Amino acid sequence: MKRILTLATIVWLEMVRRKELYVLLILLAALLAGLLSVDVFGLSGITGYAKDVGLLGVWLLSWILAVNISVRQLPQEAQRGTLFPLLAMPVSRLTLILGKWLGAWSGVGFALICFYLTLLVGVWLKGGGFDANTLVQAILLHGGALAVVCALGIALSTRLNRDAALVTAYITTGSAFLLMPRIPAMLAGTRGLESVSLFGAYYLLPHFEVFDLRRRLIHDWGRVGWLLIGEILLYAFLMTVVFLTLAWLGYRKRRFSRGDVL
Amino acid sequence: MTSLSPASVAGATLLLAWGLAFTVVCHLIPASQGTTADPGITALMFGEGRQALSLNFFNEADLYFHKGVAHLQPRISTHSFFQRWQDTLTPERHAHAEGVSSAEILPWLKLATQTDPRNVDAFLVAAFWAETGLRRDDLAREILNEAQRSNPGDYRIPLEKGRLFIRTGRFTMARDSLSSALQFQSRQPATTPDSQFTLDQAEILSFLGFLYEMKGMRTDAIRCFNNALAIFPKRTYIKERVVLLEEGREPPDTARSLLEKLTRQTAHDACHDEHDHDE
Repeated sequence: MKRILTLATIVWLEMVRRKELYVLLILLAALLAGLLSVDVFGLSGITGYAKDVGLLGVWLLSWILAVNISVRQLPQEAQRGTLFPLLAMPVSRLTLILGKWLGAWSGVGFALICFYLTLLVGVWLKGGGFDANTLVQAILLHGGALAVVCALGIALSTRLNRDAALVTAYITTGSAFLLMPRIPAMLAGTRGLESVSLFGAYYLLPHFEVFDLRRRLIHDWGRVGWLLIGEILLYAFLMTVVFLTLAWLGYRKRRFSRGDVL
Repeated sequence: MTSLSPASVAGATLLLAWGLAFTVVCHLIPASQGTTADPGITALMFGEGRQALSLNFFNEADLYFHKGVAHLQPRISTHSFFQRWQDTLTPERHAHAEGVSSAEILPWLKLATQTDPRNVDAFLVAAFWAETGLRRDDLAREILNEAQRSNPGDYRIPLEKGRLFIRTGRFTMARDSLSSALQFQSRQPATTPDSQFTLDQAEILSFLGFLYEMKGMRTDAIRCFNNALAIFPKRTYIKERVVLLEEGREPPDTARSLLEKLTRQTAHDACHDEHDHDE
């Protein structure tokens, strides 16, 4: 456990050194400043659009950060050659994967809280707010979704180089987010092979839409039952375990030689 | 006298043609710029794609009107926990934004009109909400004026202005606006015989008929009602009214009360109309 935490700390230090979080925070603040300055027919107290676009910004930025941080961890160690002393410590490959995932997820989780705080300040300046209970649930589920994204990014990076893993992770997570909620409607007009393939995708790909409470937050529908939140978080845990297991299976027997990576 | 070669003649003709074309273009460009909307930065950034973007903002406004609940789509039940969770997270219910909360719709409509100033529907809906939701007919008029600046020849804007003036009791202004709407319509041919265009034409004529009747101009009123009947001959209440007016008798319902009834439309009515159309 200590080794996992040490590896996670290294990921954190690297994230601080690369200054990605600051850049994304500045981007979000600029987006919010632009939204706050919009004059809506001279009316005051309208915050729905700021919440909507702001939350979309938070989702997009956290997604970008999660994919970028997670897919580069393992290929970067191999490329720099630091993987060899690391594995010689000795650190098992499972420990390495878990440490990298924990570092990436906790780093993105910290960034996520910073994003939500920035959004809260922005919405508050415009004269609005969020329901506290729903906001807590939304952040928890958002964190769950990012755990899955980080695990998927690490799993892909065990067999692909950084660039290939990055593109594949973006396509997989992006299409899962956009496509999965539409599949039941698409199935209504399909038959045969098309229907089977859609069903296959429906049950195989992760369902990120169940982690998205933006509409509840924006339109003040109130919080959902904590049992449901627990069920969805359990699903996030299981998906994370599946992807980390795949990562371990793809990495445990992988051979590295200095000539290949340097 | 030296004769000109065919090449010189062709060259001179081309030069003359180019000069003529240049002159015509110089005259046409400022004239056309005066009658069309300046699409602004969005046109530069998105080109014709701005129409899709504008439509997207318009749909977002519809989503806000229904308090975030999207329109129902046919789908199959997968009996999966994903679907069960999704149904609990985003309930399917029919709700409408009312009163001050309807102001939340306006930013999306503003974005829709800024992205594509030719999206007349977005202007009309924004004006409708400003008036019925926020009770701000000054704002509604401002929005419609902006719409007219961007779409000078569109009859729907003076028609909406006419409705607005009737609702606020400014009948002379209503008559002027509706007359403009009729004039614009005569320059704009209907796309299909049963289109909204024809319905609007009948509506304008009926409104004008009532307004003339209120002013005591019976002959003009009868002419307008007859024109409306020529479009929809089965409208018995207009038929009966024409008979009474021709006989010099007073109809039982006053023109004003009928105008008020015809122009009073709430958000819920608009939604029911929309669903009726869907069905």
